[in-house]
Amino acid sequence: MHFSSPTSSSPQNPISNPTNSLSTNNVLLLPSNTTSKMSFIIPNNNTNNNNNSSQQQQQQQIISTPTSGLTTSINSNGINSISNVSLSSGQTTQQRLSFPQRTTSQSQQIPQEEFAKILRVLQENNMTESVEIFKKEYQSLFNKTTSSFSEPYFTALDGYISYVQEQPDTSRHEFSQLIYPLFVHMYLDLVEKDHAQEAQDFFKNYVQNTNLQATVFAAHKDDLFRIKSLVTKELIAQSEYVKSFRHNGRYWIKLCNASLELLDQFLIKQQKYPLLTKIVQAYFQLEINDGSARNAETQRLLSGGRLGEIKTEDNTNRMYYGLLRDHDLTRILQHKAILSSSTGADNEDGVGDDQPSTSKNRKKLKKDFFNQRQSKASLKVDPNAPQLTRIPIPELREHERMDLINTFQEDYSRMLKITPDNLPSCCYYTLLNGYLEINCLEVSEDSTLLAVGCKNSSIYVYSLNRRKLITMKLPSELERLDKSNEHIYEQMMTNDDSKDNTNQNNDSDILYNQRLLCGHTGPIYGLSMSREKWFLLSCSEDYTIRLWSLLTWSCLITFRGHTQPVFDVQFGPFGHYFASCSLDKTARLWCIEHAQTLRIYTDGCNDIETLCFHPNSNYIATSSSDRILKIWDLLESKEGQQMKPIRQMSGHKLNVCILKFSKDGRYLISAGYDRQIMIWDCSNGSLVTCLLGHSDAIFSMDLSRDGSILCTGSADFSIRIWNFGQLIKDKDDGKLDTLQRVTPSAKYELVTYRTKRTSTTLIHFTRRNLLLGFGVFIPPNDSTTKATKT
Amino acid sequence: MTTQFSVESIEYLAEKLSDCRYLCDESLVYLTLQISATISNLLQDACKVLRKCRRNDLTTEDFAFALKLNHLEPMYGGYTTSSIERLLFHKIKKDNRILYHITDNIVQVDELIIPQSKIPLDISIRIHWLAVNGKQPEINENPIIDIPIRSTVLKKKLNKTSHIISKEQQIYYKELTEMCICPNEQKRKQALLILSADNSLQQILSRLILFISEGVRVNLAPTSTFDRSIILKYLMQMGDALLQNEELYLERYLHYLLPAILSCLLERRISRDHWSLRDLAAKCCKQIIRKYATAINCLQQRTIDVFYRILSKNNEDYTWPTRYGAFIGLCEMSHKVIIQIVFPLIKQLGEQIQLISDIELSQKITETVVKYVTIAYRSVYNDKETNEKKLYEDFGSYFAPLIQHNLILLL
Repeated sequence: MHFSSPTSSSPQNPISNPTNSLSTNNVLLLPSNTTSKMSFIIPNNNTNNNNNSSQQQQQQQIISTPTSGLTTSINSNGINSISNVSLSSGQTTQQRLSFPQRTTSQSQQIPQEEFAKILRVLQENNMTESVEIFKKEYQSLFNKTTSSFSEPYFTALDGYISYVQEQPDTSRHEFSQLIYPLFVHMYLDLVEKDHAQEAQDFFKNYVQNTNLQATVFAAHKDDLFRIKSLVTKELIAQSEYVKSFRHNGRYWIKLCNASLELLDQFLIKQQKYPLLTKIVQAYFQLEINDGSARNAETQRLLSGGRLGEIKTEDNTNRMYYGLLRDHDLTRILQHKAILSSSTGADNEDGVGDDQPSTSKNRKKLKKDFFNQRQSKASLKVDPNAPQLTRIPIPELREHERMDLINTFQEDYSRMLKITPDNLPSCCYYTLLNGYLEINCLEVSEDSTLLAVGCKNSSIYVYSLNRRKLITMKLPSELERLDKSNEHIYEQMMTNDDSKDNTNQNNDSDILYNQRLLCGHTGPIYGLSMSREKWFLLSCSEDYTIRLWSLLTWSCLITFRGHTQPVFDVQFGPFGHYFASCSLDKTARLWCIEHAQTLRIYTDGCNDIETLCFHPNSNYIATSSSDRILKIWDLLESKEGQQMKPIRQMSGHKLNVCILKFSKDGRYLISAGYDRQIMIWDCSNGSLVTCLLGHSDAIFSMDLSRDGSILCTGSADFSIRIWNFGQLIKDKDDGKLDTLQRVTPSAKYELVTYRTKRTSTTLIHFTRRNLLLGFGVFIPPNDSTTKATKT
Repeated sequence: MTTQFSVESIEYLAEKLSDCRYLCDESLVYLTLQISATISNLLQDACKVLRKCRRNDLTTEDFAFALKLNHLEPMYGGYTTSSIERLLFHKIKKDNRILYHITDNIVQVDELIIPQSKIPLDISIRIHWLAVNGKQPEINENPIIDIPIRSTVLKKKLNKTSHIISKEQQIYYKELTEMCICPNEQKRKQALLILSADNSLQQILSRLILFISEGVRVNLAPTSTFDRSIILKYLMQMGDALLQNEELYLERYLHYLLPAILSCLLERRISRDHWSLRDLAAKCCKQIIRKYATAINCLQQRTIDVFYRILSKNNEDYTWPTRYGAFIGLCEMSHKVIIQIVFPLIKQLGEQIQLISDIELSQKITETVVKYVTIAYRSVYNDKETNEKKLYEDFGSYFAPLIQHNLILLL
């Protein structure tokens, strides 16, 4: 926290001017010419400390008898108060500013006729100047009487801010956590009580304060815009934001023990500002953090959630983040991944793994695959892995398994090992003429198919290699096939070789073939392709999700259930399951065999924007508009209990665009509009680190197949490659500075690739670790403006 | 993000919509607040789509989405982004039934045949290598990276000592340079076109510059036998083409290029037809200064100093062709330079020219001087009546009548 230095602000705050204010005991003659209601009382080590304490005493005196002050003034309306006003004509406003409760009660007591009387007396005595001043004073007082309602709010918040200032540097940030939520609640209170104009003044006063802007409000800019538009009671009643801020739980604040005691003293024992105490009691929850105060930087990183931080208790449940090593698919993937990085760490894999490319070895491996490997894998049981039966997952079919082993053998044995000296090549696919038309992209796991979802509710599927998109034969033809044939799967597909000859001239085109899928009635917002390239899921503004067959090129099922536009959909890592999320504030789990929803995860008041499956298919992670990441369990909760997220993480300052789990399932990586790449540890929901480097929103992310390289694509027309493996290694070795959680980009960033005018919206590592980037070309500005003008 | 409408505009709309019935001030203020807040909310909803689609520009469709989300009737026909020319919907209202329709214009067949009519383009995909083994190849699809990337700084430094170019680039270089100095006019033009447009030249740029500077050095040497001026001209044309290329960064090679150009400009005696070569060199010089002169490198100042030294010397240290070169070098720079530096020299120059015995030479120089000076003079003193006395005072008795004559012609 950096507040302005005492020297610069003290002239503007004459209240803290020691010579004048304290020499006279008469409170009413407190000389001040301040115009701003904001006053930071900065502790000046020598004189001001005394000053403050004595001032506090004074204030206490006044505040201790607020009721009596009121009653007396009511009783003594008339001459007493009039004389009071006329005596101190030049200073009434200033008094009011410093001690509003009292003066406002006075000013309400000045009736119209009294005013006229005095005026007449003054005019008779030819005191023109006094007449004018008196009139002005009266006017200002009279006008201010309506606005007096907001005064306690101003004083309470000012009081709290100055209280924060008095705290030592080491713990000041802990107290300043409360400023933002206090401010919002006060503002909403003011509006709700029909004081729109004062509420606006209140808002402007604090938001335009540069000190607060840089510190307290920096993490909440997005919400401040929203708050500013809430100007009437009706709007507040309708607002989703208010719902999620006020009625979705308490604002969670983590403090160390010492700070909490001090705060308790201030709010409960002293009760200087009953308003503050009321708000804190109604909407806040303070949690004691063990040990000393946290680092200010750490706290800054973790702030940004709409409702403060995450309850520590919420992240204590056990999460099985390990991989399903007993499942064939994981075994294939893991085996090959280990194989590629076999130098050093995993020597136990046997001798044969070191020279994988020879055909002899390959055969041996294939044989080993399900015999030897299995026994070795089962020997060391990962305590963090869920049981294979925890969530029922279909086994691989025999032919599928063989296919996978064959293809993966080929690709993984030739996989590039990315190191700082051996950086990946990047092949870039630029989509032209699609700006403002293309909504989303999806590429198949084997990098051969690209699906493009458009605004005009159509989906295009392109073949990225030179192979033609295959189509399955008609049922009548399929019946005639010999099912015991070894090549049954090839025979099921139509052979269009004859057509190929006529289309020879198309050969020059890089895209050999494309398909159009029509069916949705609104823009497509999300696409997901199943691993074996048989199915494509799409979700749209028309509230539905459709499952398409990529063999017959037709829609198989329409999943209905969401009641608002569906924003994202994703297949589980083993297929079979998929999850979707929507603006109806739910995420749903589905299974391709049923048209009904299996699970509904509701998020109170916030839209769920993106989601991501855990590699063991037991969890899904979602990000919602309150900027909190949540991980949900697929396992059904006990009867009657609401689904609660198993992990919650707050720290993003703006909306999150993309989530990814690391290949080993332990870490969750998130990035979005706030340019931060945050890496979270799933075992306890804590932040590992935050990578900074991009200068605009981050749209896409992928991990290399061996899980050691992270790649991010951004709207600043760049792709950055990070050494994720090194980062995790450093973290495990304890080399990562845990206090200073911001990691400078240079430390783990390997390289930046720049594009001309394309922001990468999809990034993908092929099985051989070639990097593929996809993006829609953004035409230069003048042409877009021209287009909008015409 | 926050939208705030003025009360006046709301008043205007309210009166328009309610058939000129007036609303009281209070309700207007209330309406304004409400509308501002509603629009702001709608915009926030529209931004949801914007974010989801990873775009930067908000479209009218996004706003329509927000309206739909709030169960409001979307505005029809306001689509600005559709590839078809903006469709405007028209509303027909009859018996409480509302119908929207698009005006279906009749399109003339002739209009379609004219090749200028735009055909909406379909989405197409283009593939290129963004990076190969961690380095971004310098091709048209990739941006030119001016600022070296932090992590590759070390490597670049290493490369400086042994800058290796690939086999293809070597062939490219060979072909290009051969084409540039071959006598075939058409081939040469083609090569020059490549030099002025291809941005992948950056890799072999240092070689090309070296080629020009070495070529100039060899051909200016008194020992060379054949007609040097043609080769020099070709080399200058190469330099000119490279300077025209917007994508190249020549700044690092100026210490080779500029001396070569100045040598061509200021050489004592080259051959018979050296005037055009000097003109071309002056043009190149001008371009370099326009493009790369900054306050820090003092490029313009230094070049002017060179020229000025030559022109201001009274004695016969420099031959007239050299002086001619220095003169056009100065004149090409800008009007400002002519006015401030050349004008004071004219009078003295005129006196010297009168002493030249070679008629051809003196004519050529006089012609050029008059041409540049007149134009510059006209740009400053734009009055029609030229002050004869002042002219004689400024430019001496030799040039003044000629300039005056030309000024009249310019009118």
